[in-house]
Amino acid sequence: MLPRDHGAGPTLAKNMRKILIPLALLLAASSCNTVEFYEKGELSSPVMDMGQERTLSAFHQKVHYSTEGAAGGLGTTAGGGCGCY
Amino acid sequence: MLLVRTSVALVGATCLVSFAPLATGQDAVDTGAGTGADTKTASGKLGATSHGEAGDQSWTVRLGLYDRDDSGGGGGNPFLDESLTIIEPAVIYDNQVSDDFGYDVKFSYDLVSSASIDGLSDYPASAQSGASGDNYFSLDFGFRHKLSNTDNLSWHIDVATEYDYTSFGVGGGWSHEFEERDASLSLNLNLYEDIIQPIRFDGSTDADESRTSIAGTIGWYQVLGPRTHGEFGLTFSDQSGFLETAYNYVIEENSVSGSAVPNQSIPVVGYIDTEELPDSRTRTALFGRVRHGLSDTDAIELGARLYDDDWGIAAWDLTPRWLHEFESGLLMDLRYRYYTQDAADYWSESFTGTGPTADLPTFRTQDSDLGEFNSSLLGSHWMWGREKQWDLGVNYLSRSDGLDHIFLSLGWTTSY
Repeated sequence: MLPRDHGAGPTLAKNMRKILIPLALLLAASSCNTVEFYEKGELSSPVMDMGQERTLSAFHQKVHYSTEGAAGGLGTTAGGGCGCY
Repeated sequence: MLLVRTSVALVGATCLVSFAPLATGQDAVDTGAGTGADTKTASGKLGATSHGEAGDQSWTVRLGLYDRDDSGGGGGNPFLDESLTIIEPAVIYDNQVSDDFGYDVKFSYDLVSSASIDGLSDYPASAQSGASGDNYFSLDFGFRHKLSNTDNLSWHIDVATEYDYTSFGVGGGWSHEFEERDASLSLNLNLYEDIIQPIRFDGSTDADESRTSIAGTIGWYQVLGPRTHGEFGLTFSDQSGFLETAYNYVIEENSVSGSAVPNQSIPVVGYIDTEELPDSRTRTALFGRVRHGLSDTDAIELGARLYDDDWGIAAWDLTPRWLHEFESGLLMDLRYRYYTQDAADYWSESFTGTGPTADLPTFRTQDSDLGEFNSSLLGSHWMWGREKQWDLGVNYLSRSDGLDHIFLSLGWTTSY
C-alpha cells in the first residue's frame, strides 16, 4: 500500500492554539472601547452582515462536519439530527 | 426592516438572514445579535433572534447537491469505494406573526446514492437491498420570541427519518444584548435522540440501537470598531450510544491464514469484521471570526476553529474570506478554508494479525473521516435580489487522502 500525504496535523494544531487563544483574548480586551452609535452605520452594509454569514456557515459546516472527524462550533450541535456525524 | 429569509439545505440546514437597511445610528446595527444562541443547530437551523415586522412572510425553495467521486476506491479507505452523491430539495416557510413572535417550517428530502449502500447488493442474501435505504425526510419547526428589546428566545422541534434511522430533536437558545448593542451574549442547548437499525456491510441487521446527543454553546458577539465586528464561542457536546457507522468494516490483512476478502476495491487476503467504536464521545470546539470593512462595498474576514475530543482527534481550520457588493447589488463571497485533523486513536490505515479477527483491537476503524488528513476548500457564493432573492454557491474541496468533493446550492426566496 502506498503511503499518503496526511499533513502535519498534531504539531500544527498545538501551534495554532498558542496563536489563536491569545488573539481571542486580545480581541476581547479591545472590545472594552465602546463605539459610538453614530459610528456603526457601516456595520449594517450587506458585506458586513454576519447574519448572512450564519446562513452560509450552517451550510458549509453541515457538509464539513459530516465528512470530517471534528464536528462542533458555530451553528451546530456536533451530533444528532441527520445520522451523518 | 426588510427581512429576507433564506435557508441552506443539503443535508439539512436552515436559517434566517437579516438585511438591515442602510441607516445610521443604533437602528442600523442589527448584526450578529445572537452568536450561537440564536442558532438552532444540529439540523443547521439558525435564526430566531432576527425579528421582522409583523406580517412578514416568505417562501424558500432550495436545491443542494453534494458529490464525491471515489470510483475505484483510490481515495480515503483503499478497500472501499466511498463515492457519494446527495441531492436535497427543500421548502421553507417563514411567518413573522407579530412583532415579538415568529415561526418557520422546513421540509427537506435527501436522495442519497452511495457506493456503500450499493455494496449491499454484493450480498444477495442480505436482509435489505441497497436501494431501499437511500431516502431521508426531515421536518423542522422553529419558533422565536422577542422577550424585550434586549432579550430573545428561540426553540425548535425536529423529526427526521429514513429506512434505518429516526431522530427526534428539541432545543432552544437565549440571547441578551449589552451596551447599546455593542455586544451580545448567547446560550444555546440542543438535545437529539436517534434510533438506529444497524445494517452491516453484508446486509445483516442487529437489534435497534439508540444515540443521544446533547450540546451547549456559549457565544459572544462584539462590535470591535466602526468597521469591525466579530463573534466567538465555545461548544461542548456529549454523545452516547451507538456511535459507529453501521455498515463500516475493517480489514485485517493476513496472507498466512486468511482468505481472499470479496467485494473490495483492491485485492486483499485476510479477514473482515465490523467497525467498533466507544459508546461515548465528548467534543469541545472553540471558534471565532472577525470581519473588517474596507469600504462600503468590500469586507474581509478571518475565521478559525480549534477542536478536540476524547477519541483523540485534534483539529483546526482557518477561513479567510472576501466579500464584495457590485453596483448592481450582486453580492459576491469568496472564501478559502484550510482544515487539518489528527487521526482518532482507534483509526488505522491497515490492520494486520496472526489469526482471525479476534486479534483486532476492541475499538477499530478504517473510516477515512476519522483518519489524519488535511483539506483545502475554494468556495464562492453569489446572491442577488431582495424581495425575490436568488443565490448560488459553488465549492470545491481537495483532501490530502484523495477524497475530493464538490457541493453546490441554489436557492430562491420570495418575501411579502
